[in-house]
Amino acid sequence: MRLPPLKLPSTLRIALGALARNRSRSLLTMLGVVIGVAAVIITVAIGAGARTSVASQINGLGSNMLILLPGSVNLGGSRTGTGGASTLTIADGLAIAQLPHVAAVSPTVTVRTQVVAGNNNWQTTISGVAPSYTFIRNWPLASGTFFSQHDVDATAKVAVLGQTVETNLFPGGADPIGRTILIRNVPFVVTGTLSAKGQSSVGQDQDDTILIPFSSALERLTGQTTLASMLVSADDSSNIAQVQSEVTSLLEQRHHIVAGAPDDFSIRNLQDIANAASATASVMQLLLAGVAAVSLLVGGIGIMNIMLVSVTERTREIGLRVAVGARRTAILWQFLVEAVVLSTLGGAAGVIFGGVGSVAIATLAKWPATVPPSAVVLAVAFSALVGVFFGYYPAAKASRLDPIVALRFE
Amino acid sequence: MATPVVAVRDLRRIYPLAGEPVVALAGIDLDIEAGEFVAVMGPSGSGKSTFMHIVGFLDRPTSGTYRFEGRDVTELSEDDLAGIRSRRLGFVFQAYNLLPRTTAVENVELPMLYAGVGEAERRTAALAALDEVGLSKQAFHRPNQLSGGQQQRVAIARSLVNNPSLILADEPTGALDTRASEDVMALFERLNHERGITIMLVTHEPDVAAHAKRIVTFRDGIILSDAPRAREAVTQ
Ligand SMILES: Nc1ncnc2c1ncn2[C@@H]1O[C@H](COP(=O)(O)OP(=O)(O)OP(=O)(O)O)[C@@H](O)[C@H]1O
Ligand SMILES: [Mg+2]
Repeated sequence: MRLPPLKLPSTLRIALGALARNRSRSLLTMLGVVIGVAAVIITVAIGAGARTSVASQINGLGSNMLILLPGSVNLGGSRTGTGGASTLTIADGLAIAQLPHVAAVSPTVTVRTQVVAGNNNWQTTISGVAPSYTFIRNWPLASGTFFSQHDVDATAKVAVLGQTVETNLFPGGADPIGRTILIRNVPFVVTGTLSAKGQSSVGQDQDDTILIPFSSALERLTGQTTLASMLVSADDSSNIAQVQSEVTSLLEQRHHIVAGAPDDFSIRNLQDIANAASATASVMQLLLAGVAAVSLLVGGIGIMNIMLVSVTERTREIGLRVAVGARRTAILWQFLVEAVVLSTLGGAAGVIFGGVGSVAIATLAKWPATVPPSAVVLAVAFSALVGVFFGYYPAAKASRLDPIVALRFE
Repeated sequence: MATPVVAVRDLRRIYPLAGEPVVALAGIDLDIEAGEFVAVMGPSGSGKSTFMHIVGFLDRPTSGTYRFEGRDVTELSEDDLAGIRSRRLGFVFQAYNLLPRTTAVENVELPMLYAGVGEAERRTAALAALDEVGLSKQAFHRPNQLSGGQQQRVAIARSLVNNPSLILADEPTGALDTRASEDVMALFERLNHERGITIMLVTHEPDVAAHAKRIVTFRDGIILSDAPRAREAVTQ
């Protein structure tokens, strides 16, 4: 299509004048684009919010963390090889700790059991871990102290309570520190409490736990020497992959696994989980964006529709404008600018409504409300484009009207 | 002798309809000199409006020549014609054709918008034109707040605001009562007499035509008579 030169100030004046004369129709015309752009903005904001939320949840699991599990894990995630369930040992952990770029290692030994404190009792998960566990999991204490390597060496009967356990065993805000709890009838002294961590990404209450030295757990609770899992923390997120492959080759070597044979352990990389989650979020967002784009398109068609009606309604006006000296190009530009002004204003209004809507949704979903500026610019630019695209046909139609027919039009 | 404002020779306009072509103009020869006040009369369908549209470049002849102020119109582009129309021509229609919901002064400014006149100058000229047609007080009224006669005077102000050499009026009093018609015609006479604007006016009414200095009568697309004085037309 060939566009003639535009005298913007006078065209804008003519177009704005025409729009102002038909204020309510102008507002109705804009509505489609307002809704479309608001939908786009909300979609983008939801997507960005969900992504941040997923990222922070996964971050909350631990810093640069790898999870080492005994037995192999097939693609579906179900464990195979019953004998493999007892393949991870303390010695494996000590060897892994010597690898380069490994910041910390903590074994975990879990026991689900009843715990008693005075008159209260509570069913919870006991985790035997190393002192580095709070570092690996990014999990600061709320009060008291965590156990030390010395406690591990001495298989000390000390425990640190999660928030849920604390409120159930010591209701009414009693200070649990220094008090004794019974785990399978073994008395443990509470030395500290953990800060609240909330639900995990799979909806599990992470605060429903008691942490004790892994040596104490093995010796006094399970009576075994093998571990449920091991947490390994890389010194930097960029080294996670390297640590993963080094741990793999180290354990294959230690467990005498020949090349090509299946491993008797598996490593889960939080980064992979994070990537999978954010990929899911991206697909969701793409879908929503598609819906939003369609509604914007519908808004554009609405503009074209009403501009066409407007051209018919204003046939006499067009004839008159030609009679008083308007060039066809001036008519074309007038209607095109009208459409673009409408769609751009609609876009701007949509950004405002979308912004308000995003904040409302984010508040409800307890997400950070993020409307990226690029999305705002893009939405407004795109709606302007919608105006050009859908405004051109009615404008061209207006500019081709025969002035005599137009002046006679009733 | 100076160049005529309008000079047509053997002008024809044929509408190529499906059945048989309609001959609206069947060979018109006419000169209109600067400063003339011409009334065009004739029965309905005789081609008056068609002729006026061609003279105002809203339509093109099927054949024949038309020179406007000496320039061959058939050789000019549509944009050139729009330019001439905005600077040299004024139109007045039977139905006024004012923009609705737009003040009188803004309606009068419209031709200047397309002629590229600056904002301040536009307003001054529009108010002066409204003053000239006696509507200073109604400058900021909208069409629906004006009587028919007042609306037609706004339309006349609009037609003269660009200082045209020729005003074309198609039955400008067709929708007005006698009193308002007289006002409008007096206005045309004054514009013609005092400002020297050439006027060509289509009308059915002998009373209206009597204000002109020359009466051209059409019939079946040709000129039946071309009489220089009004009285003869009245007695016709
Ligand atoms: N667009 C058109 N297509 C076909 N024929 C047309 C068209 N416009 C006008 N005509 C015909 O041309 C002839 C002249 O029409 P025109 O409008 O010039 O008459 P007029 O003298 O102005 O009549 P009136 O006094 O009723 O306004 C008529 O026979 C009319 O039917
Ligand atoms: Mg007519």
